[in-house]
Amino acid sequence: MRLDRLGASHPTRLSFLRTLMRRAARERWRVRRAEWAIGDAGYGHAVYSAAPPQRTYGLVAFSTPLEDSRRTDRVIAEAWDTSYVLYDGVPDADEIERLRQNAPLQEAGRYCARDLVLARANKSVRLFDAVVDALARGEQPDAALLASVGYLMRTTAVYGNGKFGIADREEIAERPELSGPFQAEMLTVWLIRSFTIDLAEHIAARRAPERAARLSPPLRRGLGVGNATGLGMAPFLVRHPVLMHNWFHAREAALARVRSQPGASGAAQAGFLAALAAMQDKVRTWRTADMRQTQAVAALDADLATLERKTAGLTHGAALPWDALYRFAEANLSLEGQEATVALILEPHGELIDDLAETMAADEDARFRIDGAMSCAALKAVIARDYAWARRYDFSQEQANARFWYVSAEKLEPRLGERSSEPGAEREQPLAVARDIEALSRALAEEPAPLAVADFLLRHPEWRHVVRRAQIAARHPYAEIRDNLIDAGMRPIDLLRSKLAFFGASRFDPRSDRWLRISLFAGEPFPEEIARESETIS
Amino acid sequence: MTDLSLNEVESLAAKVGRGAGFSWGLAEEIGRSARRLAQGGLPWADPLLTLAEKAEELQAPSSVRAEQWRERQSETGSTATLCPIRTAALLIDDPAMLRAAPLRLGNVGLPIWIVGVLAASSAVDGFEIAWPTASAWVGRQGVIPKASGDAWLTLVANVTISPSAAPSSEPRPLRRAIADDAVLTALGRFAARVNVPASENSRAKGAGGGSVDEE
Repeated sequence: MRLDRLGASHPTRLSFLRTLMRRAARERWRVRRAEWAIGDAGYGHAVYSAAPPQRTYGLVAFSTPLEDSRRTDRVIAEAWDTSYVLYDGVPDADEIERLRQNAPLQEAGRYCARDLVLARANKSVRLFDAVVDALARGEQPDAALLASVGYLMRTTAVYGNGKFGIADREEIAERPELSGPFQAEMLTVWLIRSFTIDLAEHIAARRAPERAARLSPPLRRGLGVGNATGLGMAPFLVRHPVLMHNWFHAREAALARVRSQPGASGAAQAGFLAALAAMQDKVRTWRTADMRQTQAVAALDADLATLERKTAGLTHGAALPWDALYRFAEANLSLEGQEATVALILEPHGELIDDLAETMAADEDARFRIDGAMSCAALKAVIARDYAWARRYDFSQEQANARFWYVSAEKLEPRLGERSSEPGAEREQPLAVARDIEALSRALAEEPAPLAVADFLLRHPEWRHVVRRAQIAARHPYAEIRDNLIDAGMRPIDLLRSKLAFFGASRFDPRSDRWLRISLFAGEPFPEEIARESETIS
Repeated sequence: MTDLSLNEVESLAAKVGRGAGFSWGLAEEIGRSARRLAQGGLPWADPLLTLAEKAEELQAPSSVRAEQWRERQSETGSTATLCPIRTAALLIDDPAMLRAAPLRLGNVGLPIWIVGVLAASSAVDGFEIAWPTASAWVGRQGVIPKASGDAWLTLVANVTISPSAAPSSEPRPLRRAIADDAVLTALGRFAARVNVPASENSRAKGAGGGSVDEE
């Protein structure tokens, strides 16, 4: 649970987009383009419907003109190429009109309980126009160019859970198809992917009706949806310790199950090697301008080659072959290589581990209550046991206390400030877990040992949120990121990558230590394909 | 009037609580309490604004008073107006408190927040919270209010908390909330106190994203 390891995370078969696709295939969801009202230049609206057994959801997509100078990935943008709402049901004309008045405005619009997810995406200028031009000439776009970007559009925000008036999570939490974490958001992005390609093909076809080509299936399959993610997402994992525990616990439980397998069947070995080959392909097209990530990718490439060479020898005859492989990775590979190995050895074991995806949601309410009957001494002992890692830091040193998390008044989004040079530290958000735990521990040391926590908090309400965390962590060993989140050297993208890997993201491309681009669904089937390909989705 | 999701209510109320000077942990309780009040069909926005405006005048229960409640002794010697959030936080933190019910709490400011905080706690099941103008049943299933209109907005009252069996009618939690726009604007001013105004430096760095798409 250290940042450097989280920053090397890879998606696994327990990632949320994989869970969504497995369910859609298993239940043979009916997905279709239900409405297409897009003009020659590519502006207008479309509706895609996705129908699990009990319900139908509609993705309403709007495409609007945008000057190049206004196209920005930053959350401060006020206009986008495309905007989307995942709607609960099939929207009629009045509802589409309501959404047309609001969705293009994004945060400045207002939404209702039938609107489940709100999102927007901008074109990859370099690629979108090149693809349209090539298709309009009746040709396929350059495969290398496609691979170098990987998507036609990238989302810059995907909002759920009640934001701006959309439906609360509890509206959908009991629905089997959306009960897992971020399933509604993943469904939205999956459908957006289809729209981005349909839109490019549509513009090309209108420009050259006689000649225009459609994107070839292999090129189509390789495209995902890009995503640009900055600091806004970073505090999420810290703010949801029970949820974070459940995500990591599921992964670790899956790994433990696989490592304890007494043998490696032929099918499992073949599945592993196929996954290894697929990952090697992905690594070869993994482009990043970031020097550190470039080095990490190169190390990963070498690690995968090592794995390929060693696998047969390691698994053959070992009492616990997958455990042997994991131990080899731990001892010999880079962090990227180790985390990739985890993803690879989980891959052929769906029957053994896929049920764990059902354990990744969290009832945070049930864990919210403070146990005030606990004594201060007992709480201090719990902290000493579970937060030994926090004692690594000396917060009297400027380096350890260099930054502060805050919410910007301008965009109401999380930001990271420099304590010594920027104003606002007095409004710091409570995300400096290690520092605050250490301070709580010192405060508890001043109290009589048998004093009840309830009485301590009556006099010291300033420690209430920290006490709650410590009590949650006592029962949830994966609840905390075991690093100093305000250290001068802390890299927020490590937090982002971890969360995005749980989503199922690939092609991590850090653009600084504060934001990165990724791709979702690249190489995966399209929703409209799942009915006929349901046997192949795992 | 604005229609709000319950998450917006909770998020706004937590920020207002923090902006009004409550600790982060108590602000979390205020957020969850506002959500439960809204679900129960009780007013939440007006009481939240009053709570924020009067926060500095409200006092935490003293240790002496807390001990009197635990020991079922009559309260003595205090005329201070109790902070409903800090009082209710003590009640949900310390199981011995509610085991001592019926409890009589004198001079509680904005007693509707006792209802809210108790309703938001998984520790509380089957209590009636009453003051002269209103009462509510609170349990794991939700809140059942017995009063209307301004009766909830009592500024100070003596409050009784008694064990009570669940009423025959099941609570039907509301799924959305509404609030008066002027009140929302006033709440927004308290919520804004948790935010940091932009500086040249912060604008330049932002969330880290590039300013113009170059791909």
